[in-house]
Amino acid sequence: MKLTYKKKRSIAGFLFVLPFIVGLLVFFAQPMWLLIKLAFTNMKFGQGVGYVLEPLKNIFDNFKYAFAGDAYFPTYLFTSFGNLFYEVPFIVLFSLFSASVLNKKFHGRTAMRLIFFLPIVIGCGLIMNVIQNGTNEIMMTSSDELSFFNTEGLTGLLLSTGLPEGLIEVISTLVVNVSDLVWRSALQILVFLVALLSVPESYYEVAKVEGAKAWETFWKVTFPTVTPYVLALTIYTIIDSFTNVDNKVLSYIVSFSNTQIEYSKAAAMSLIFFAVAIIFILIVFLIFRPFVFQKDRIE
Amino acid sequence: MKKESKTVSDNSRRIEISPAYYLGKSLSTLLRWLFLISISFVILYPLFYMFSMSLRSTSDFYDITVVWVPKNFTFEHFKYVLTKLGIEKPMFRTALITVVCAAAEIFVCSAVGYGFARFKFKGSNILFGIVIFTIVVPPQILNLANYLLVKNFDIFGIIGALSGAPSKINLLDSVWAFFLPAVSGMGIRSGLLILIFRQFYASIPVELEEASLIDGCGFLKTYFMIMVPNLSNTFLLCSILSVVWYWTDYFYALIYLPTWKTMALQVQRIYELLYNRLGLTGDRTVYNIIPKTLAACLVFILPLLIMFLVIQKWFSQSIENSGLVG
Repeated sequence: MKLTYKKKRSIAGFLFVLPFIVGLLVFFAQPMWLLIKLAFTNMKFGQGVGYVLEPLKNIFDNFKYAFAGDAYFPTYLFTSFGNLFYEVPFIVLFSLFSASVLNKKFHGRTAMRLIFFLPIVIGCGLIMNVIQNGTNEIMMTSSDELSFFNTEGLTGLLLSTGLPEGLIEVISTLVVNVSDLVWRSALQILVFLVALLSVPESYYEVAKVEGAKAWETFWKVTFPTVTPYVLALTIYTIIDSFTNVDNKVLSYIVSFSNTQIEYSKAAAMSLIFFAVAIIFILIVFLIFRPFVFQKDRIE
Repeated sequence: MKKESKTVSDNSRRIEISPAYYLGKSLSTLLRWLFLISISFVILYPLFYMFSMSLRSTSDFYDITVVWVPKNFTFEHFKYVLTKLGIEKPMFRTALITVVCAAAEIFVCSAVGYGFARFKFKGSNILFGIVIFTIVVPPQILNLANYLLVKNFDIFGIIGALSGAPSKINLLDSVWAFFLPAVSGMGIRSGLLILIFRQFYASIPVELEEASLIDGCGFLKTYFMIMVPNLSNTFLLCSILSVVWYWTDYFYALIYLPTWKTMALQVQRIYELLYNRLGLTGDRTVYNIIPKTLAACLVFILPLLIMFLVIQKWFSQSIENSGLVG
């Protein structure tokens, strides 16, 4: 039997992806399946090491609880989206800008790249926790928030300029969060840095010969070529703020399952959370996809 | 009006460079440094804090006049961390896990990313959506389920059905619990690496691949000989990320390797460790423990910083990567 070229390609593609499919079934589908089972039953720990899944009277009881019975979950779920609208554009544009600055040749570039890489290492949560515990010990306090920067003075300053209060609130929240956002942009900066390296030098030569200004070169050469990465990183940034340890919904679910030992209800909440997150990401994807510059692929 | 200009002779040609050019150039340099320095401040602040704290002696701690620069520099805390805490073995073990798992993760994710970037088969789009979904599900949520899976490792009850009893394969406390997910594209944030690889493979000109296929290379050979070498930068990037994630991971380690004492686990419970180690002597004070914990943190991240410094030198601007004309 002779296979057509198209058929061969689709088999080859499947084989390239095969390891992932195996991993998906073994290490993702199984835990997810357990999570789904938990959400539709009531998990009870037995006397020994085992556990039993008791059937519910109404199969959607856990979901009903999440929306109607729980005091915090619905509010947390919907308020946690509000921040995304300024956080995500800021992080993506800031990291693109930083990456293009770091991509230029100048003295001290290596040191600067190292500094911009630091948040990936330090910001992993572990180190920050240790530092925070240390400061708490010294100050004899027990705050959860790491507040290196005090920005209360700024709000007062802005109020005296007579700007509308709504605007001031936006600005001051932005400034308060700016250090946090910078910390969360490190991975994006690194990816953009490599994306910018993959723009062939000849594109820039052409732009230069044609007399393009630096600004025009950026918007008409650099930006279009990195749009695939802009889309990917936008999606990643959204996911990252969902799965961040600081995310209110997530930390609520985790603490709920740990303190109340209500794994079934927590499972239902997390399923709702995933569904909302996926819908949100899908909307963003469909809105931005038409703007992405793509080289055609072989069918 | 006569325009003032500076001329530079370049062999036979004369190129006129206006002062505005120099002004613009120095202005952009100034702005660049302003930007870089202000951001660096935000980033370096905790690092300065860690260095400042870990280098001071006990007397500096009681001294209010010492804000940033310690009066009596001391390396005793670093020395203590390196010699007394017995971190050589954890460090070696963690390095081993990190290198092996990161290598496996990169190898697999790059192949999977390539598959998604260039091939179409039934359900490939849906499958790629699932890749995204695997990033959306945070490990905290699957905590319990993962633990149960690893404790009685099974593949949809098949192993259990074959042996007639619930599976007794216990992967807890074995390297396999880390290695198996890594080698099947389910390691730490593998989904993100697949996404990154996919985007970069998609940016390589299709003609390059076609030429290689026409010249008689198979798909595998094309992949290894043409695609991989073209993505050297992406491989460096992903290795950096993967190594950092495995090195600093304490979440999976806590579930999968509870007794293994990886570096991250040691750092996570460093207070407890120091508290026990310092015993009931007078050394067990906050002013002795805190500098030591911060010194331990610095020791912990140092290998990563060195790795980054070495690797970032190899990043290179892509030359016309296809060699195609028109």
